[in-house]
Amino acid sequence: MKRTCTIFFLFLCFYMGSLSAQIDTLYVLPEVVLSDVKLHHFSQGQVVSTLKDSVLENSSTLLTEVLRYNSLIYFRENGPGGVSSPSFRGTSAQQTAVVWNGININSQLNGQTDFNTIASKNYDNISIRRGGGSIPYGSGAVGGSIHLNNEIRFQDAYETNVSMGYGSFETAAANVKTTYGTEAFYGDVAVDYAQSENDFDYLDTSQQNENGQFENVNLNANFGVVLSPKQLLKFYHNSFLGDRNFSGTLTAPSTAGYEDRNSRSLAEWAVMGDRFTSKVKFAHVFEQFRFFTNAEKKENYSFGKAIRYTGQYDFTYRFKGNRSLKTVIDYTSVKGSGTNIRPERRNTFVGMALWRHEVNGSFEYNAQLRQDVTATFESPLLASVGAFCTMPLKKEDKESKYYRISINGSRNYRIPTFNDLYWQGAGATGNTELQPETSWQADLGHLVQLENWQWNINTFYIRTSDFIKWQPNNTGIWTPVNVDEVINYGAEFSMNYEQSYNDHDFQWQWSYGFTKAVDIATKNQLIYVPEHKITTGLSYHWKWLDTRYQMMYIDEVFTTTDASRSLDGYTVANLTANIRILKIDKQQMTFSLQARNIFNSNYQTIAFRPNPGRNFLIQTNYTF
Amino acid sequence: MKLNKFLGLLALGIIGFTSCEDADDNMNVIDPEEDQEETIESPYDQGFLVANEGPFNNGFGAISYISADLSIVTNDVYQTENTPDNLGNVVNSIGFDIDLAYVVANVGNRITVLNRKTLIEEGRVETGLVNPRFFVAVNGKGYVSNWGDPFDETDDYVAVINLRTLNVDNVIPVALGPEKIVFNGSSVYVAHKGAFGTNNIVSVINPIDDTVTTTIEVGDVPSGLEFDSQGNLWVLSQGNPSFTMNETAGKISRVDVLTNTVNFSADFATTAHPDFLNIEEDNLYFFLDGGVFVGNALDYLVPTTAQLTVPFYYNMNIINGRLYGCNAGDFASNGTVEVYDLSTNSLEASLDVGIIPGNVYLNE
Repeated sequence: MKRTCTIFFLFLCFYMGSLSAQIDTLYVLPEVVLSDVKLHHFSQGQVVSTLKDSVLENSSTLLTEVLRYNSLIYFRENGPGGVSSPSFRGTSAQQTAVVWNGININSQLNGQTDFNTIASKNYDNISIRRGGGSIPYGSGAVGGSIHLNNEIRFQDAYETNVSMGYGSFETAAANVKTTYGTEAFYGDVAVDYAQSENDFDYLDTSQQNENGQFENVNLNANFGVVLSPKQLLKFYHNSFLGDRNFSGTLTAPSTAGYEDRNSRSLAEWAVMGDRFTSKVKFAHVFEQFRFFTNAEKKENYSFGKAIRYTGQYDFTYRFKGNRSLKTVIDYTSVKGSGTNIRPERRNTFVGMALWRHEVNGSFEYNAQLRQDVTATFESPLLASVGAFCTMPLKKEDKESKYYRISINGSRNYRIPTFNDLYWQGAGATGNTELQPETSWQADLGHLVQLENWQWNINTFYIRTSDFIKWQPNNTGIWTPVNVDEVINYGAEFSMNYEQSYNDHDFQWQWSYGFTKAVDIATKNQLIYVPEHKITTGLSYHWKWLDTRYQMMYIDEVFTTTDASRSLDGYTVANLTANIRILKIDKQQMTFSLQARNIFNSNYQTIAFRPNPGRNFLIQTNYTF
Repeated sequence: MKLNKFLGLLALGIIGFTSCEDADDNMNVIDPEEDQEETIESPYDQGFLVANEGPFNNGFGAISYISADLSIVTNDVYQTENTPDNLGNVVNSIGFDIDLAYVVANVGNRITVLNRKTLIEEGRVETGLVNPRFFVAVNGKGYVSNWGDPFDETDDYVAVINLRTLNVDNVIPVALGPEKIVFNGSSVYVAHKGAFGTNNIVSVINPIDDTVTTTIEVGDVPSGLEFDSQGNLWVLSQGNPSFTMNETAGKISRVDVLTNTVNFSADFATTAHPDFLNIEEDNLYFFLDGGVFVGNALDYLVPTTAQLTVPFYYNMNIINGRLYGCNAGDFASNGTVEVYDLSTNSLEASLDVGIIPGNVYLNE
């Protein structure tokens, strides 16, 4: 560790030294400033797919809903709007990182992100990065990571978008976003509101979803200022306020309620030279929940909260010959407390180095290292290597027809959370001896790009050691231990086809995931990991009309660790039609009708929690 | 396991686990009118019933039947006899009254009344229960300990059910965390284990006017209530666990039921937290750190060496010289009931039952 630090500082000194020797030429600011450069420049060998605007516009704002139909991630959702945790490539909820404008926002308390607390409509783009990413993105980027990005655009613009919707089960949704930009300033503010009584009938029973109502507000605000031709100031903010009741199940009534109060703020000062970029970042992340066993009696609750401060220095130097080295030092301090969490502070120092080399137009590779230092546990040295090679299928047409092979190997981790370490409650206690879960993983990908077709095949292997599992100790107290070894392997196939005739545009997307996640001790597939998942989407666009059909198939999942009980597989399909009813200059108005679960399928993603049958949402969208 | 553990685990983000406290107990109520009649077709007579809690929140508890000679195990017997229904979420305990079994679903807030020999449902109590724990029948009435809202320390109560109408006719407010409940022919005794928190009393209820006549201070976290052959009430308290930051020793107390005072008690070491009290033929058994200890209730000395070493059990019941250990495994898969012959200390059988077996009852 000490040696790594030394090497790292040597690197840093070397940069600083060479800096002064540089004569910077005028650096031209890009019009669109990415919030997360690493995602695009340091992901060689891995699949990064970005959801299209049309996908975000036509989905519910809840991120679970967006990703469920547009990725191979499986969600364990406690009913619509309820707590929703992902399983990416068969990994645990703590092994998927959610990265907000470049920073990991997984809860410090439980290590996961509730995907029903994220308003997808407040982001300019959402990307899915498959495979290990703990070096750039920290704890939990094992199965993969989800990236929520806001773009800052220094171009003249003034635009407001208002959308309002109303649907089954007294569901109301509203979103307002205003953007203002000049060559030197950018600002946007977005507010997303979602509310539902959520009292749908459980199909084939006389019961309905009781105590499932929710109300969410997500506020995002982003600013950018050009201080000088070489200096840039950026600010990102998101606040989430959620008041939810937790619905009962087929066999258990519930009166429980849950309040989320989350906020994330990030300020960044960037100085750009001809050969270097230097960034100073400060982030503040606050999370707090309150849990009520009786939502009517708000005076009785248990709570947990965590406050995180991060300071980061990020220096990238671009060598001759398309080589660049990014070095980052990061200091993070987290304070957690709660009804059942012993108040503790965790300070972590992180050093990372990311090397990228574009050898030529068709071959690129990267190599990355990261070391965390904290008093709480021993962090492993993380390393990653990735490369891709592109071969044209037609000599004269390199851009539109090619084959690309990608390979990546990495070591990743998931650190113990505050709950894991410091929990104190009736019948359960944390374990301060816990070490991070670590994984070795490999990824091999093939991409075939033809004129209208794109084919992707990816295979992966992940071996996780020291998997953290809560189990009763010899006095019956539940406590987490580094006990299990888990192997995940599988394959992902996806296909995209686009065709246009005159004004008619077709798009067909299809993907299939085969996922094994096996506990080495029992040889059983982990609970709630489907072996097969298929998604498909078919879109048709013509002048003022936009229609989309999407379908998902989920295989049977086991609900007990001995594979003795399972939930049936199911198929769910949705249909959306958007009609543009106004287009004058900048003004545009569309009317959209969404029909969900059109075949009225009775399915459960968590045992004994039925999902709604056929239901509808109407929405209007006005941009001016 | 207890609800509080569950909610704790729920808050921890662990989904799909289970709940609850154990409870052993042959709730064989001392009832003068023992039923002598044999019923007609009684497939589940002459054997044992196992209450399996089932998964917490996402499912239901179940009953397993074990034949008297341990050769036959039939799981999910309630569902078989009452298709397509289930017993509700987290079956914490079963209380018996002559021919009937009262199955208490803790999270389901429900008691299902079954014919104990056919396991066919005869009725339900679905209102008036909030986190019900244990049931005892007293002269046509059923007394059920209820936590109420576990975050509200002042709303705990004992529900009094009219066993003819199955209505909750009366509610007796009691102190925090009522758990085990027993009847000795004149008084109802309720151990206040403490629900989410801790408590250290036993409430005494007069079933004639349904009032709390007195409370008896015992050790912290009383989990076991048993009578010996002289009619003394024995109370085993686990002591406060370490995570309360006020760890206290386990304690065993003997209550004189005529005066309702403690006339003998013995402390364990501060970090020793015994549990699973059973008394059979004046042998007093408890479980501590994987050991089963036995002493003589009529001349009690706290035993210092274990008679038998067993795995970590969720609960154990001593019935007719055998120990039935409820092994819940990882609490997310089917458990086993492990049967030891206490005369030889040998393992006689390991029987596959349902998810989180919590109590074994003699059914005859």
